[in-house]
Amino acid sequence: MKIKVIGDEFTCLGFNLAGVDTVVTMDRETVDVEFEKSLQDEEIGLIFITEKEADLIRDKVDKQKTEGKMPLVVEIPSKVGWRERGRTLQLIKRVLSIEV
Amino acid sequence: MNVNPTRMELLRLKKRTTLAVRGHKLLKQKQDELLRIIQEIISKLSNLRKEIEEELLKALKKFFLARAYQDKKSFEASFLLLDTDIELSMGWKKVMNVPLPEYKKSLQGELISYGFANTSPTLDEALKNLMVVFDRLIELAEMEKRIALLAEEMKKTRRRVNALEYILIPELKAAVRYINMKLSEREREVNSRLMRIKDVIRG
Repeated sequence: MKIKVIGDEFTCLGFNLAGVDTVVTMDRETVDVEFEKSLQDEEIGLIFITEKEADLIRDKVDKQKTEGKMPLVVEIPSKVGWRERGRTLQLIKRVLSIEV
Repeated sequence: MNVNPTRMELLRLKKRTTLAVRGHKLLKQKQDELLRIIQEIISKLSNLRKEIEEELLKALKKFFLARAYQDKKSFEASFLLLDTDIELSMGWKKVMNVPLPEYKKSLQGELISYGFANTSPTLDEALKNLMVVFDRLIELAEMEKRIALLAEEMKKTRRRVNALEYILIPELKAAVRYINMKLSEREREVNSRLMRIKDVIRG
């Protein structure tokens, strides 16, 4: 299985050198198209998407995270770091209604 | 619950009650265990996220620096002949009957696949850092998915526990009580009827 990185030019550069397929995205539309394409591709087992890009298609990312089986989607911090910590934790909190 | 007040039915209901109680106990234990696992993962997760953030930033900064050290053309040229390929293999591990994904990363080819002559050592370092973060990122992916799956299972289990505890078991118990009362009522009826008949016969 392959890994795919969707993100800004800077993040992609690094991962590209490490031998990962990357897509540099500029605006909402390209992110959307690339994300959908990656979801359809059965070869891809893991998608890393930078947080900023994930925010553009927040609903789709969240849906894939909670409901979709494959591939896994993980948000990674872009060069400014994580802006919002533990969104997954909030998700869990909402589902479980437990203190974490 | 609508039941026939017969002895057969009573026996059947009693059996069902014990089964329901046993099931409830088991499910409750499952729920506790799930919660424990989830909390374990959560505590690991928050640490992991912090570490990843730090390390990824470090790696990216080094890339930035490396790019600054040399002109754009030769920098991009060093990416042209890539030999590295990351392959991901996936397995499933079952915890509490929930299949959880497990990833393994394997690196093919040389990590550093460019010439040393016209690239800065910072690039090598950045690449090495990135590889370290990469393992962590895969771990993070695994954990986030696991926790989502476990939470889903937890939700289901809790619904079952509640259904058993607050609906099925009380209903069954009420039905058992109802049948018991009906049966003893009938017994008293028969008794008094016999007494009456005895009187008539004697009289």
